[in-house]
Amino acid sequence: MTIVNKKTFLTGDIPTAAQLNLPYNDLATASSNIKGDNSATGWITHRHLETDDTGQSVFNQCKQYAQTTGTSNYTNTSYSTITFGGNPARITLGYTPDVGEIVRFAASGMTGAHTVSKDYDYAAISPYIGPNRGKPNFYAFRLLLNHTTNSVPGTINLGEWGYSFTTKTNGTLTFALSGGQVTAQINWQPFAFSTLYRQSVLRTLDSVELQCKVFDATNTLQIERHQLYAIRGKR
Amino acid sequence: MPYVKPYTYVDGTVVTSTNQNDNDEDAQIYVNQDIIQADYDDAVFETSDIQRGELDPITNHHQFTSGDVWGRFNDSTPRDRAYWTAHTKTNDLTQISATSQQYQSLYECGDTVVLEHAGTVFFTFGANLVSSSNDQNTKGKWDSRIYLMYATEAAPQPQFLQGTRCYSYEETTAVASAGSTDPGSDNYTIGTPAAKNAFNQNRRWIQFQWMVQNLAAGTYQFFVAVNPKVEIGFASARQFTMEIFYDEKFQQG
Repeated sequence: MTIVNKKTFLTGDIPTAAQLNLPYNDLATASSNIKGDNSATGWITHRHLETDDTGQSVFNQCKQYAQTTGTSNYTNTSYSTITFGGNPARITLGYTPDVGEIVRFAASGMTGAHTVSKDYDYAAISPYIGPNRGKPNFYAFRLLLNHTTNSVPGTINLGEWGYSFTTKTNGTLTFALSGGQVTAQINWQPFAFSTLYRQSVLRTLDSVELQCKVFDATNTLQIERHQLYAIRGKR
Repeated sequence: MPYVKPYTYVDGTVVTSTNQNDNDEDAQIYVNQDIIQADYDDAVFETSDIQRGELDPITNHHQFTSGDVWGRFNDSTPRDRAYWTAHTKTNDLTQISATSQQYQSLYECGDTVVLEHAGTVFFTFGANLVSSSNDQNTKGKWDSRIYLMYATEAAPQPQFLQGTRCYSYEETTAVASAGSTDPGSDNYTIGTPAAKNAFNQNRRWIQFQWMVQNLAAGTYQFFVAVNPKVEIGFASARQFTMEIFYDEKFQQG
């Protein structure tokens, strides 16, 4: 910290060269390294912010993936990225946030007309026993963050959100022996969720993906429109 | 570039008026108008150094240095409901038409904002949407469409940005059905496959987000509206926020 000092002269004082040089030397020193101590609180406005979005830029980066036409079907029991027309629900990020920085992720969409063969299993028929009891009714979404840390690629599960095909929460298992559908599945159900990511160590965020899965492969999850957002709000 | 003192005082040397004036004038010019980005030290400024935002509690706007945010939430009390009706359409045929459009805005789900610069606007809408009753028999995929819309002074007729659908009924087969006038009916009978229980279709939480990027500076009225296809419908608990992030390319030259 350097601030500009000056001596207050009184009548009859004979100033020395050092006293006269002091305020000018302090100003010269301060002017090459202006810090928060040399500036007023709350002085930085929009026009003071740099103009590019590289390096330590303070600028927001708002990214969107949107698919608003067509449907795609999923019977996978482990997560796979929602894909329509060859375009995966993925946003390329390609930046390295500062440690401690927060990045917001959000996704929303609408399911389509499902084909549901099994819903709730109260009777605990294998394999729907123990912790899996009742789960055929479920499908789920996940936001997966792909990153590179110390040149090693990795993934982070940003969150999972579950939904059910029907409203059935009790009773015996309903399933169609002849390949038909159970009744009263909830079609065209909107889904929406959001989450935060905090950069705990320095890592490059490569991309984020919207994924889905069903619990039972005999049920088909249909996805209609879906959107994915990443907001790096820095100011 | 940093200030450089033109003249250095020396003990025993008489200072001229030019010496003194040069030092003072250069300092004056530097402090008043010559400070540049390179003069600032790296990584020393904090959040408190950035201009504070301004909250207007009446309009629920919070204006930041680099953007704006507006939000509103209504809870589920009956007095906060935003009703809509297809009854205002000219006749029953129009009411059940898949193409007739008459959008009715949900109150407190929109506002007029002034974008000082081009930027990105991020919308979040969520509401518990209820279809109560209907004059016409509901058949097939019966939906009231919910749209995020906007109007400008130059184009005052509202335009669609994006939206979703609120289904009262969800029959996917092509089999003709008699339908029902009760969106909550348990007696929704159709041919094949087996009769569906439509009980779950009349009350849903509808939520979506949407982002508009590179929106030009100007005045915009954003709002959420419903094209109703039921006689009585309403939005119960609902929330709507607009977040504005100005683009980085606008800097004083």
